[in-house]
Amino acid sequence: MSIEKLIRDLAKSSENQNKLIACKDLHSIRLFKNDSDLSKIQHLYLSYTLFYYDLMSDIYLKKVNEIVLTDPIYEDAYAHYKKQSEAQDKSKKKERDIHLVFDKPKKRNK
Amino acid sequence: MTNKDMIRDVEAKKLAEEIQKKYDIEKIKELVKDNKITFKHNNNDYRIVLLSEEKKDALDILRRKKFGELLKDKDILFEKEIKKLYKERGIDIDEIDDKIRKAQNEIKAVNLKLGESLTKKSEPESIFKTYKNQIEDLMKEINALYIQKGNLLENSFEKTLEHYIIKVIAFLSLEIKQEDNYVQAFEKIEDFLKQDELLGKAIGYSMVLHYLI
Repeated sequence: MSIEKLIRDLAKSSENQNKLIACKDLHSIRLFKNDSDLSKIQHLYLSYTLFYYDLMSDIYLKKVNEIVLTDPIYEDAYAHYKKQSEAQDKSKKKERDIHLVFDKPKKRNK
Repeated sequence: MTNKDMIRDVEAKKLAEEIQKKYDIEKIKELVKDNKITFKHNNNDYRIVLLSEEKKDALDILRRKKFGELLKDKDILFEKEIKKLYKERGIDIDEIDDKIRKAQNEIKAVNLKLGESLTKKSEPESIFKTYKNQIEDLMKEINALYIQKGNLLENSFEKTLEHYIIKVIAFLSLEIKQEDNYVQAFEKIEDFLKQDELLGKAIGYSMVLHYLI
């Protein structure tokens, strides 16, 4: 089994997710012994921990089918689709904002 | 073999895989908890650490020295030169790159379809599996192409330098425990390169810490 696959399994585990939540809420709990100079494997582990935190939130909010967690290919596909959708939404919002700035003021009825 | 025997074999295999997975995850936990990796070799305690700024300067010096040596060796060709020679013999490495890019773009397109279908409540599971199989086939194709390209360019100037740098980083990162302190394990890279088993362990752990396999 590859290191990346093992990191994903570790990051996804409920033990790890609970640790992240505890870390966020109680600053006395640490994910690592070191508090700076993260190694590459620590960076990867942290990225995946946050990735699964977001993914599980989306499952809870029913934005995605929970079957997504059964396969890393599903997980990556959903993440890719979500990123693309968010980028499209952002560019549509920018266009709308530009129109608001340059729209002619509406005539008031006397 | 009876059906019962077969079922027992499958269950035993699953259990063995689960146990192996738990063992591997415990090993990964050890690698992740700190930015140093400790290990034993021949009754000595060693550790791999991230490179300090001073060690990065030392890396630069050794890299430049090797670069100069390789540049003077006329038998070592650059990737560009190797590609040209292969093309004359009918093997187009740039075409391999094009195939990789095409497959990667196809994966992106299927990923979007699969990602979108995962957000729909009424989508049957068979649809997900169909997309997943397409992605797996494309990934196998890309892996095979990378291996093919890697084999063709293995002895290039760039690859030779890269392999050397990996060893230098392991050499500079490796420390040995003496009494209560850790000190650099080898003063000269030549002495480090003679250590077969230790070299392998040091490079493996160094790659995990610095670049990840």
